[in-house]
Amino acid sequence: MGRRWPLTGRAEELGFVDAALRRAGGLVVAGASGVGKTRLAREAVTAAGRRGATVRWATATECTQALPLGALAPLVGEVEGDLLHVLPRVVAALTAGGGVLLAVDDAHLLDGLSAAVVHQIVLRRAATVVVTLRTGEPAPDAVTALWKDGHLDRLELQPLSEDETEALLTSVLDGPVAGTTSIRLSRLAQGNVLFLRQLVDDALDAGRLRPLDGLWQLTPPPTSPTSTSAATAPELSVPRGTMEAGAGGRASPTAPEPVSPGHAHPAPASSGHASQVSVSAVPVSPVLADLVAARMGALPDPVREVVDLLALAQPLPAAVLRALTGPDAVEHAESRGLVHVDPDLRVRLAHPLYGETRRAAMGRLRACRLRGEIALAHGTDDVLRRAVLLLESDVEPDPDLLAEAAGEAVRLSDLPLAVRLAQAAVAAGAGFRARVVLADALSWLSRGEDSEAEMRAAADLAADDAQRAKVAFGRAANLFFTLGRPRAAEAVLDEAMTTVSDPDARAALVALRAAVLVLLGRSSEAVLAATEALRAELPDVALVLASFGLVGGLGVRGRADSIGSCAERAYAAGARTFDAAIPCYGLAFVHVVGLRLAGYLDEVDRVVQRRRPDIPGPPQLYALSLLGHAALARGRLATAIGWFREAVSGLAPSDTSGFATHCLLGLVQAHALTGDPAAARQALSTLDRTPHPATEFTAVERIVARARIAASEGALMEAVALCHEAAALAADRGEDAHEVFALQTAVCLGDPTPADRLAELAGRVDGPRAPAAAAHAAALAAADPDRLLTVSGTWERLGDGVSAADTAAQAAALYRTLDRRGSAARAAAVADRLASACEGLRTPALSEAARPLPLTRREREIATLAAGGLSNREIADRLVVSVRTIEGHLYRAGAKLGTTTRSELAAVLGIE
Amino acid sequence: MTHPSRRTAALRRLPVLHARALRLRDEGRSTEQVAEELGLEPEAVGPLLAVAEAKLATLLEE
Repeated sequence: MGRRWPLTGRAEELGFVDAALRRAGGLVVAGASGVGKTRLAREAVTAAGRRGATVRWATATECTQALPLGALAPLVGEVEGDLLHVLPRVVAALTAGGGVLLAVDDAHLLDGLSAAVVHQIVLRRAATVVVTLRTGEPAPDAVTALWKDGHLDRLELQPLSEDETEALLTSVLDGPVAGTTSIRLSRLAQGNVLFLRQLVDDALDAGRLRPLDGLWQLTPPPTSPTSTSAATAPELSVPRGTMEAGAGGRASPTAPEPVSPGHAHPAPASSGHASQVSVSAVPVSPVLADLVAARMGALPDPVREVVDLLALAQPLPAAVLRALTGPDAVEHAESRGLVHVDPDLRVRLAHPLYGETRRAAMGRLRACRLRGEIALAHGTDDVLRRAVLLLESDVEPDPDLLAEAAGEAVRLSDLPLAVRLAQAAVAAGAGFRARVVLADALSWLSRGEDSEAEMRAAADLAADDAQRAKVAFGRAANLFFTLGRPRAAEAVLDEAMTTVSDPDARAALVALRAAVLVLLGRSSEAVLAATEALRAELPDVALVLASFGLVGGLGVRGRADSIGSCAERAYAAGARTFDAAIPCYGLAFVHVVGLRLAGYLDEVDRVVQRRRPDIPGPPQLYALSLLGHAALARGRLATAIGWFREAVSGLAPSDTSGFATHCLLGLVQAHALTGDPAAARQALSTLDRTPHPATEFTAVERIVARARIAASEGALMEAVALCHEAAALAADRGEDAHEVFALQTAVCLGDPTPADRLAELAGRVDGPRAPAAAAHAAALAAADPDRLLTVSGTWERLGDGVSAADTAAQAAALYRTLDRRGSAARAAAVADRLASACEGLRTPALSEAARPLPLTRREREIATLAAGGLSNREIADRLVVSVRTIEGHLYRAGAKLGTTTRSELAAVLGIE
Repeated sequence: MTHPSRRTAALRRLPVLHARALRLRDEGRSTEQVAEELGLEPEAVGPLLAVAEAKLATLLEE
């Protein structure tokens, strides 16, 4: 591929090398193969050449190593004489003319005489010298003396970080890269630029890396092989903590996240999509295989056995590996840098691509045999690993083990694997438990009808109240979330309450009802139901759902100070029980909503950052959604848009979790706040086309989002009216926190009328947002710019960048009307600084501060709509006034501004 | 003065060895101890820390 790979992520290293060369001494640049040593040295040397240095570049290789002066000969030609005389002549020839910069690539391969020459040049300071060498490789003494004796600094070049890799990919692909794709490629390449380049080229060639929805994304292969063990072009899986047992053997980080973010009953996207994101879509090409094989070197059979075993399952205890391969092989592999040994003597491959390429070369029979050997040698401590290994071997299946492992896979959010294991368990004769696990996993994978069928089969096996309640619970959840039939779900719960008498089992059903109620916008009933359910000893999944009802309900009702302990208890339950883990994503969402509405944005970040699942798949997309909401709350608009777009792209169109709609709602707001009403309307249109029973929970914010669109279009009074409509809905529902949010938005749009109501709410709503909003409204009502500026500082400290910028802009406008020009300029500068931090924020208040005009609010609103392209009739219809009224306002605006046409008006208003 | 949480967040975005080197240095470890902990030659610790500091400063400026 002719794609240009810029030197990205190396600015600091380049600065260090450059400084060393300017000091006229030199530098040793060391690093692993493929990390970019030569490229870095080339860039620095080229820069020195532009400054006037005479550059002489030599490259040592295994061929030149065998010849005296082999590497330097091309630079100095033939030199005659014995050693005593040759060396100074070569030094003289290399440094002739002065101002020389000598660069030696792969100096660990220098022959002895060349090494001595380089050493002499450095000792005599006859030239500036930069050498590169491979870390860990033996080098001639004369080379190691360069840094050991303190003549030159040694810079150990590190692999690129994930951030640096993303920046490089964005540059190379000339466009933004999906976060999940960037992370996957970064982890596969482990920061090695050479591998990264090959991975990208291969994926581009295979058509697997392409732009989707404006983001470069890895896409699934045409067919989805279920096992990579013997495929000729296996899919690359991202390295994770505990194991990589082929494509099917996906498992968890070493210490699984206590809980992953989740939805009450999030039904992740289709299984097809899950396989797209769970196992990467990059083929192992022959070129890549050769690169990796060259890095590994020739492998003796016992060492190859070590690598192959780890390619199928890692890490493995050293004792297990020794038992399978003999003691010497493991030590040999370690000494060659092929494996890492943890402090607890667990062994893993030193690079994820080692495993991928070995699996590519491994025959199916060999892979089956090795998996069986590992499983039998490994003991009983890791159920999931053993089950997956045995599943892919020819050993007799164990239904109990498979059922238990299926539950573990659900807990780790690996739903496709859970379905595989549960189906195998059912096929092997497992009973009720396996069927319920299978039904739950199918539901979470959006396969609602399949789930319903499994639930009915499980119902026939239910033997007691607890099992009957469990089936009713699962069916109702599936009907509500995945199949979008809230009435059918409530009917199942009602029926179960007539047949189940055990108090704890009934409490679990009430817990689910609490979750359903909160999502239907009935927060008061939800809190009551949740409180009732939480009095009982609940199974973990029911505890999470009851907590969902309580946290969600209290949060929107302004009681955020009461949700923390309840949420933490539920997260702990999600961490210890497999089927409670996924619902924790939804809990995290309502938790974030409650904290955000209260103004606890640091807490929002904390909740979101704790829920970053390592395993790709729908849960990771939920996490992206949470990240988007956290960014939006802080006014990091471009960042939020990026996260939301990626999550929507991954979840749609089959999402039944509700997270896609949450993302779309966030996108509407973020686009509107960046002054892009067209994009906002498009997102709103998509949102309106994807109804979900859970969207009632965010009904108030949906109206506020419409207000933001109207404001971005210039229809300010319409926007304010929508804010009041949202506030009225919130008040009707008793959602005090939502009411504060809606009224605060109105205040940001210049409406001071909510001052009294906000003051009242501030007295009873938890968190710093309500008092700040009340102070904001009071300052605006009093037309007091000093107080507004103080409130702007309050918003900034809270982390609400949008409100902080708007308030400062309002202060600037007021100062200007008071003819306090210096204060106005300072406030405008504050607003500008805050707006800049908001990544493209454009609001009416900021526009007014930037372009003060002698117009009334109504004149400005109508002039803005007219400048935006609306006809007088359209404006009149939109604002529900007569055309004559519009004409009057436009006439007065034109007279004040000296404009006669709409295009002149647009120019004055700064509308493109 | 950089807020501790900002510094911590920035450290998480650094290449792993850079972050570890800075943390060890912050704990007061000697050059030899840092080198041993990270599997580096002692002479490489100073330049590694210099680059790590520069990368951290860049991230904190963002």
